[in-house]
Amino acid sequence: MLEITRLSKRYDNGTAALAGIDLVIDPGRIVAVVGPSGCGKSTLLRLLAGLERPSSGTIRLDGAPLEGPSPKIGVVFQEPRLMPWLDVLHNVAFGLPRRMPARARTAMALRAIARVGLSGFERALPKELSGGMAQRAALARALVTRPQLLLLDEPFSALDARLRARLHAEVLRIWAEDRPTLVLVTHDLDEAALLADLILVLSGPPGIVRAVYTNDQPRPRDPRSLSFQMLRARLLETLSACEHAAA
Amino acid sequence: MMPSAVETSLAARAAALRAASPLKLPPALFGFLLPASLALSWELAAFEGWITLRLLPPPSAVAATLAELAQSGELTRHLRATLFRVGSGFVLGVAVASVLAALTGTVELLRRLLDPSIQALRAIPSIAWVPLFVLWFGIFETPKILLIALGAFFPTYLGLESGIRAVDRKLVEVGRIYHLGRVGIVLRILVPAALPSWLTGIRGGLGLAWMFVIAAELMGASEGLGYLLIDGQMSGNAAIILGALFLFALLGKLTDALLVIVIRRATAWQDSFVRGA
Repeated sequence: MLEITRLSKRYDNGTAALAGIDLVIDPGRIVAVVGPSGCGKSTLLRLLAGLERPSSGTIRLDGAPLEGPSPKIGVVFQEPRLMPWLDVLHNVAFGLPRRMPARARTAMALRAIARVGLSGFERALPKELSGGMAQRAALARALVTRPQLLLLDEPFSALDARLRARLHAEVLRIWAEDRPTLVLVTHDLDEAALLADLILVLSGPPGIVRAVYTNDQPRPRDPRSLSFQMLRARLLETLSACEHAAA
Repeated sequence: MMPSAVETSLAARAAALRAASPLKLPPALFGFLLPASLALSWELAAFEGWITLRLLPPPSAVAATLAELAQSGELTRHLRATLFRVGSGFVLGVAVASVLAALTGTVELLRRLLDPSIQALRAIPSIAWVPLFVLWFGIFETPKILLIALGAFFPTYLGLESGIRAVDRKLVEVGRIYHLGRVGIVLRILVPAALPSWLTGIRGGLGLAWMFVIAAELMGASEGLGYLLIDGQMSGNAAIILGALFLFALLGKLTDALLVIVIRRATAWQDSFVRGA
């Protein structure tokens, strides 16, 4: 269970990024966070990742307050952020604790690489990978500790539409294996409607939850279905209202 | 699911590019063309009597002088002296510079405290330290090695310090996500990421070490290649001077080439335009 209580973030320069977010997410759900740029959705993700400290409010994962990065949390950023001097195997193993025996690290890294379909590329350097492959390697690095909470910050936005569709299917397949709670920040409403059980629309700055949509259509979802299109239309409407308010 | 055929073929092509060399002939061979033909025409000019032999002895005479020096064991003594000075001064300068740069590059307080002073010292032409070094340390080995160390210090310091400061903040965040401490971030992210810039600095430092060994040996020495230069000038023997110059070129190029091999191995992961550039 992920509990977010009265979460606010004000940066040192005085910018208020988030103003009181309250949220309870059951384990194993997929949550999409959408909103106009500057609404604080990336700040929310950085707070969950432990990269920023909240100005006030708390984040609890299974009752324990989150203070800083945790091995229970995996993060995939918009860019792959692989270490260019390490091959895929060592980049993925980077996510594992260093006191672990080398053999166990390798075994776990190989398993994560297989899960994202990169087997055979263990020795490849990041410069030899395409954008899609690099993002898979980044996903493997985030998955290698088998996190309870997987945070994805617009991870597919730099990829072309077909590749994005394939990675959507793969993320769902991987998610179904051990069902981590998944928080996906995106500006792609189709992506949100396709993947998420719960869609948060943020508006801001400062960021507040403008609307929450539950999406209980069974998977795999058909983007051409009426219910999908209706959800998408409602999301678009709410988002336009947010943008109006901001402008 | 496997990666697409496009992704697979891209990686295969990248691997093939890594393996293939752009030229069939060893590039080193091309490098020898110019000096070899120059030496030949020089020899010919001397043979035909177009140049004054006393001032510009031909390569064969230079080689004979060097052979003579080698036979008497003197050449080994001079070479050993110079190599020892360059080696120890270079290692000392690189070591001190690297530690300082690692500190100023990662600890903001130390950077504010030390970096301005180091940059100010850099503005002093290093040769200008010679009188002070002689006054402090005499004329034997210590001031020579310190001067060479000073030469190697600044390029190395600048290379590592600027390299660390240029590291992508986003990679550092990955380190924080995986709970690396301060030392872990320095060793596992900052140092490898700054390595290319550091090694380029070290390479510049090696060049300056060779430059300063001459300055050091010209300020008074009883052995070393710099001593040979002075000796040739005093005795009016141009062949000795040319021989010493040739050895400087040879040793400088050789040590640089060794360093370049190390650099290529250590930075093969870089996505550069020309491999090894």
